[in-house]
Amino acid sequence: MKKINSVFGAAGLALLLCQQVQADTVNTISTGTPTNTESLLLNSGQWLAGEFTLSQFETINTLEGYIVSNGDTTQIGNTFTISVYDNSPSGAPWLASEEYFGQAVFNGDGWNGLTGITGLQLSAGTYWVAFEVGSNGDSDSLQAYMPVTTPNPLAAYAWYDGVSTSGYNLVSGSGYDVGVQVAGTVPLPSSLLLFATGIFGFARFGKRKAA
Amino acid sequence: MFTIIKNSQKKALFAAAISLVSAINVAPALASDPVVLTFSTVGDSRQDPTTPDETVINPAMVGVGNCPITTGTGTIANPGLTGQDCKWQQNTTAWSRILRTIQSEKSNLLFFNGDMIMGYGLADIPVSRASSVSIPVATTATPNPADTETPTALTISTPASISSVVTSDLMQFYQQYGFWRGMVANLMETGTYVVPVPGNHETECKRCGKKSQWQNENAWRDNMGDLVLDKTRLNNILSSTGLSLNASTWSVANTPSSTAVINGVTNPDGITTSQQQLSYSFDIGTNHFSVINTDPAGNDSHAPYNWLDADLTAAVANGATHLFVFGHKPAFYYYYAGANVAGTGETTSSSSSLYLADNTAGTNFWNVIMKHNATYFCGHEHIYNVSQPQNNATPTGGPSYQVIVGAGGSPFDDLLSTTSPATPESVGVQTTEPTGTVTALASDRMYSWATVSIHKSGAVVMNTYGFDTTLTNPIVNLGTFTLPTAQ
Repeated sequence: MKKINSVFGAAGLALLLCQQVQADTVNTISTGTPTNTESLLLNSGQWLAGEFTLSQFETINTLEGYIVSNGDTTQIGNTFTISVYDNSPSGAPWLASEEYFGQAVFNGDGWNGLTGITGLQLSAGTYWVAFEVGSNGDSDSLQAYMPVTTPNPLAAYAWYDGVSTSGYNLVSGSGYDVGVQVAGTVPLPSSLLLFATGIFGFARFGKRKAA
Repeated sequence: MFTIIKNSQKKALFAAAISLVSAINVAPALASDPVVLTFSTVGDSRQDPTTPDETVINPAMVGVGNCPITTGTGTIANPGLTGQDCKWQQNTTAWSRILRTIQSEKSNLLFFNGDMIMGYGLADIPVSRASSVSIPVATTATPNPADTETPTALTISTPASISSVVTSDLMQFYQQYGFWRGMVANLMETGTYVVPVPGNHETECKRCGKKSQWQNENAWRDNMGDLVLDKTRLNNILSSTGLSLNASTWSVANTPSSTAVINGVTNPDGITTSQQQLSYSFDIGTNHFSVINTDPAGNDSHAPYNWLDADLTAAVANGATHLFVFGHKPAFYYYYAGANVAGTGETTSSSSSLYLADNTAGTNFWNVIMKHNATYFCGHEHIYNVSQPQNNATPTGGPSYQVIVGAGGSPFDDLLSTTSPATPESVGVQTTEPTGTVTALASDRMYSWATVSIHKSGAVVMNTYGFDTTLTNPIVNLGTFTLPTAQ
């Protein structure tokens, strides 16, 4: 019984240690806050998406877009959907290959979206984060805008009317760079090593005491 | 230290807590200012096979078939339009995207500010005739009781052939109207009532000296009259807003008339034909909507501003707090970069604006708009511009907005470039012809429209939108404006 307790205790301690190490390795992709009042429409007739690339496996916990209502306070509390798509062979968001979607609430002008996401783990590659109204069967009703011209624009942007079979259209030219933030945690090799060492060490310790 | 709480007290505390939480959650909603009515407005979606919108030209379609043109029995080789747009003469690609977006915005009303069809001919019996015989007018019914231009004799003709009927202006008017009505039909089924405003391509005949014709006004009534107004459909659509058509102020007979006496003057607006269902007004809640025909037969390029003044005065007296006026031609011309420059844009003429047609009448019309703090929405210029003119010489600082949203798909007036800049620049205002170098605005070559939201508090916010000539770039918010309250 002591042996079991020791092993579980060791595992728990190692896990806790690992969590703390992970918290120090937050990886954020951020365009920065839009600098222009010019904006793109975001409603059920126009969805907007931005491309981002991960260089390694990552657990995503935050997806946000910079959204404003142009003074229409009745939009506060209305919902929209954030989806993550794989990159299609044509280089646009791949509707048929959706990694994640979740419903978000517009809380007022600024960064709006989902935080504390669980279960969204992406391997290295190119993905799209999409801001949609009424997708995935959600009864969204947001009528809002996404201002443009960000300090660190993403590699590509796209839009979709939410209806046509052609899916997302890549946007040509500059000036459609809406504000996007994608944040997650990266399991550093050192933390994995520490975790493994901890488990191994405490397991050995438990074994000796039992003997 | 601890007090024993009875079950009843627990329930009371629980209820109080729930109330508190509810109050906290509901408070922001109560503090907000809900939108009670929305409308969108745009004009000019017709295509033109003689000078088509270059953005939708497909080289593979050049010369494939012939497009009808309203010269009586004429056709022209396809300049590169789809077979559909060649025959029915809409910019279907641009116009349908605008419609989809207005649908997604859930506007309660859509005011279309004229030139929904190419028209511009004479909606009459075919020009090509095998034989004809004149019948004295006394033996025939007058086509329109108020018409003073009724011919002295009615000509009964035998068409020369079936093709002369098929290619006639009359047939083209009706099939173009039918196609446009089909395009907007879905809006009427999904919560947006379509309110038509006549433009010069519906009322005027180009080969008749660019003059409005009573035959064309009759064709308008025949194809649009059911919308002016279908009270049942309108109220069904408005039911979600809690508002309805004010039945006590709506009358189809409230229209400029040749027999009207205003301020002691008989027929001050120079009316020669019935303007029923061409110029009209109605109220929804405390919002007053006036539609004017800026090209009435016999008095082209003139707004019936005396009737409008009386109409707006009566509306305010009845409690209207917002006045919205819709017509086709602008009061003052927007001189974009390239205007009046050969090869780069439209050349202005006396029919380009109400002011250019008649300086005095155009100014008088705008004075009526300003007098009542109304907002004027129009088209005719295939471009976007929002201004607050005081008069033709002073294009800024006025209390009222002139909103030109005439880029619904018709060939752009601004021909400066074949591609639009990617982002809009600040919206310029020029109602007098500029001198020197003028910077082109990205919005000058954007398909565009306006959507107005009327809040419960009385605040009225207008957002304008557009998308560029690539047709594949997202929709841009061109501007946000606060519209004035009536006086």
